[in-house]
Amino acid sequence: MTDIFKYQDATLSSMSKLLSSLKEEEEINRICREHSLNMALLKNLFLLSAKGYNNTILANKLGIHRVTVQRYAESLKRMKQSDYLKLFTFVVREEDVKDGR
Amino acid sequence: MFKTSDLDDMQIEFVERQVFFNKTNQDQPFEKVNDQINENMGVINYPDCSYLTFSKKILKSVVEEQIKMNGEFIILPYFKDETEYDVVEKIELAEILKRGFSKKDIILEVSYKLEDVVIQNQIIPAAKSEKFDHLALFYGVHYGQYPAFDSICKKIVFFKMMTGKRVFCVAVPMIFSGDRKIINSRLLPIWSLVCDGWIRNWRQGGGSNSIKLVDFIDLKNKDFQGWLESGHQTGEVVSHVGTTVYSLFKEGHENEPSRKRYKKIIEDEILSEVYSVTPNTIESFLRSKCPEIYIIPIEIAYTEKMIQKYIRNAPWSNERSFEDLWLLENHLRKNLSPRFTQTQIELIEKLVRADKKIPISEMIKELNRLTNSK
Repeated sequence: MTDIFKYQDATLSSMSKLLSSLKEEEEINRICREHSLNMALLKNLFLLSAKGYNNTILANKLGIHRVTVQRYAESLKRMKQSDYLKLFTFVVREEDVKDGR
Repeated sequence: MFKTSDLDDMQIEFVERQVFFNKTNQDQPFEKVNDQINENMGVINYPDCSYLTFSKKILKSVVEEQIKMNGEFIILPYFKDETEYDVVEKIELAEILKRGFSKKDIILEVSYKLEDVVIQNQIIPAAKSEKFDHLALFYGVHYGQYPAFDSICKKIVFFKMMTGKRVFCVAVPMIFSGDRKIINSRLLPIWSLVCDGWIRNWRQGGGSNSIKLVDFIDLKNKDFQGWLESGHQTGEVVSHVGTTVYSLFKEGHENEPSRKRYKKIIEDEILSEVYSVTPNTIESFLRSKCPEIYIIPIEIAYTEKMIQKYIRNAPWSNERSFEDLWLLENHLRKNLSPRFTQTQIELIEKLVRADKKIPISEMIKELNRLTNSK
């Protein structure tokens, strides 16, 4: 924790932002653990499936087993809608930050 | 890189923008590659000669076969127990091929055991004088261990440093020993972090007496007892395959498909994680997923990959002398943190954007300032 703050401008607002993003990350980790999902793979699947690709194309694009894609798709369908939204918002926002938006 | 059997296992026809490894044994013709693979993947036609002793005749015949296949690469394959003399023969043929087929990439494949002196005296001078384009290191084991991995990483880094060329790793293991002894083996498919392309070993490993599976919590390869000792319950449902720990380990052919599917899913997940690693996340990834002794060689090789990509092959580096770039690169090599190297590279890019002709000495001064302010 202290490591994170060492490199930041430790203003109150930046600290509270960091704390809330850490909390969010914890929550995302909890959802992933509960459904045995891997965040890195989930992120790739989310971003590509948003473009409308089917399971076979997703497997071809990511170089993964078709069963893995099916398992992730089913886990997402089965999970609580609130959890799904949390995951989706997290992935989209992370991508936005990466793209500098 | 993917083989036919990998694609079959994954139940997919191709993997976009990846390399298809069309392997055949030396005495058999290459399989015809289907149109979908040709359209979506690069193809390496690979004659497996790893079980044969070196012969100039065989070498020529496998090269001729590859020329007939008209692929983008020609590989001069590794032969069993090849000597320095054999490597020199391969380099001579590579030079001839390079002159005759300027549009094809020539890959020189050698054993990971090859003495450093041969690399230094034969391979590096040949690479520098453009006698071949890429180096491939043949590993050929099912179960990796630290000393060999460390030696491979050293070879990769040294070769890249001296030549700036790509290195592929062929027939590599996915499971490694956890430390210097052969215990606590782990799923560790970290090859994409250390080299520019890799293909897993195609030979069957020695069978184990007990059924072992990679625990999804710590990625250690354990038997049933090991899973229970790590806190799993016999009735616990492994959600990856929707079956209990007990059934997953139950002997018998009927449980084999679940085990196979489980292995595949775990590999997919960890490979996706490895591919998603960035200079900012690699350190936390390695510290959470990788035995400690492997971390330093991986970080050194990863940093070298970054240096090659962002400095040696950067468009602005064409206008700089080799000696100048060497100075700058060595400055970057002083630290082992990929995250800090990334920060330094960003600073260099910023300086170059501001002044295209900024002297290297100025860049180093700025980098020193950055290091001191850390």
